[in-house]
Amino acid sequence: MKRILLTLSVIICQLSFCAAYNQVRLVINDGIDNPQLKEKMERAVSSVMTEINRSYDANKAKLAFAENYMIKDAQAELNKLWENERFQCVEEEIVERLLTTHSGYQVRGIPLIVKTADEDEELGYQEAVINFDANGVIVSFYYTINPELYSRLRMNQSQDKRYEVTDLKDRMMILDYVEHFRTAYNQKDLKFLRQVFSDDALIIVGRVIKTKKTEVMPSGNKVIYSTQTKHEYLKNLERTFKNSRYIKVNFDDITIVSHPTIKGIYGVTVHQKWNSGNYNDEGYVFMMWDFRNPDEPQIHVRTWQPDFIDKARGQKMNPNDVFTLGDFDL
Amino acid sequence: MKQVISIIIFLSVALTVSAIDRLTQVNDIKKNKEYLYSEATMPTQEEAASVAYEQIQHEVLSWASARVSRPIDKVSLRDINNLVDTIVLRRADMFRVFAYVKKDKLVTLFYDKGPVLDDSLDTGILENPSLTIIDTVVVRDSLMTREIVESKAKNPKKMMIDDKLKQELQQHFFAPKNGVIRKIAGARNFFELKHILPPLKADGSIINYGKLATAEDLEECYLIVYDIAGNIKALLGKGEEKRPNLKTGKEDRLDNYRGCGAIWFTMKDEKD
Repeated sequence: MKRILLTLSVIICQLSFCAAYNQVRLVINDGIDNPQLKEKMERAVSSVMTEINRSYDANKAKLAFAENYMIKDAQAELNKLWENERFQCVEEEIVERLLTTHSGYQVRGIPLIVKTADEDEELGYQEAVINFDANGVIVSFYYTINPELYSRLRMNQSQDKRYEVTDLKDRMMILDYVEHFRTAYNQKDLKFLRQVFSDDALIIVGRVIKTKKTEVMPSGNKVIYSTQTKHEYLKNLERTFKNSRYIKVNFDDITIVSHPTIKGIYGVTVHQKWNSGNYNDEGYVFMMWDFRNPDEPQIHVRTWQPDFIDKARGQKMNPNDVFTLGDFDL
Repeated sequence: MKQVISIIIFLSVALTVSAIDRLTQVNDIKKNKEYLYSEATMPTQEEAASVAYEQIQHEVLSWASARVSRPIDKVSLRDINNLVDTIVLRRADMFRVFAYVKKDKLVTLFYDKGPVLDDSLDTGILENPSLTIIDTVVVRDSLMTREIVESKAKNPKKMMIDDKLKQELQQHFFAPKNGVIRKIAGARNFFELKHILPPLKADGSIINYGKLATAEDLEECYLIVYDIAGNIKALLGKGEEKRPNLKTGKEDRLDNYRGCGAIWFTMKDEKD
């Protein structure tokens, strides 16, 4: 009798887990007054996330959703991600606030566990951000940057109560693009990267070399810089994409600075962790974003500098040496 | 051996049930409007707790600054932390710390700083101009109610907005341009303002508008105050330090909205 009870309890437990892993329900707890629209967005996310979980369990190669829930372009983008990584939502109920964006709505904090496409290796915890148009249809699905970081940036920690209305709007728009940009590496989406870098973009890559030890450079290490064209950079990136099972890019620190005289030009500095299985690095990426045409923002400058000049000695890059907007003329 | 296996199964089931319970509790709190909350998921519990506490402090101060009539500088972060409860969960290899506090508890904390308005009455005056200003002051704590009643008995005017301010409010509610204020007050966030202010300027309902930093004569400007999320927190009438809050009918100050931004606009105060 005891054995039967024990077996039953284990089976019930497993069944409840199976159900929890498949079914996902989004509850929007704040941020919208229109009950029909709210319900529509809840239904869309619930349906999409449940389908993702079922596809994950069934090891489906492609995701498909109803078009009234998610536009075709967003489905294609999501499938690019799915080709490179597999993920599932492990919480049955998600309760989140709805945010208003410049073009619709947004829900953040969708908890995901990510694995490689062959599901052999776990890549860890990740949160998703889902954007909707004004009618409540999903228009994009990206990985978020560090959620706490986003929250702080969105708040504008400068605590300047006179920050301008357009600043908050632009800040959210920049962060959305940064999230899209970061996800593009996970998706190995060269098309988007080709589109977002301007044709004459300046790409600068720093690398540490050993030189003779001097008083100024006791470690003997120094950073030298080389420049690449957009074409060269993307060609190298294409090769990296082909040779890597996955690309995991994390931004764990972000600074956004606006150009002092040219409206729409922003300097975005991120601390980037790159992991492509066989290669890892950490460094500072500076990007000069041009939002003067908000529908087609472009990156004119991208620089990468190593985190450490001498990792063995713990000698980090001097923060004053990290590129900023002031280092470049437009 | 059987006993060991039974214990392991029992423990794993108990732990799982406990985790599901805590998750349900977190979601229940998030759905309940009586709570303020924040959360952080990070590699260590310490990091997650630190961020979650930082965020809840911000939530509490934002909540209080929109409701408390006097500055809240004297409330220490430690006071806030003492009222905050946390629930810790695992998310894969990360720690999720959920911090929450019941708004009722905060009433006690901010008691010395003035009465707290009930959320549901934020737009009461605009929707029902016949409401008297005193009716908008609602207190939640019985002790507080008692003391406020006592204070009203000693000095009835203390709890009311002065006559000048009241007249100013009445003027807005019944002036021909009342619809303009009502229209602007209907905006929930500044994205909506983008579709409201330009047409009002174009048809002459308002004279001009702009960012706070560009205001030339701030005392003559109406102010639309928005919070960090872009949600409209207040619509303030003209004034120096004291201004009428055109949504609540209470006397208000721009200083009460720490961390918020504002848009000014000017309009003719025409009379019938």
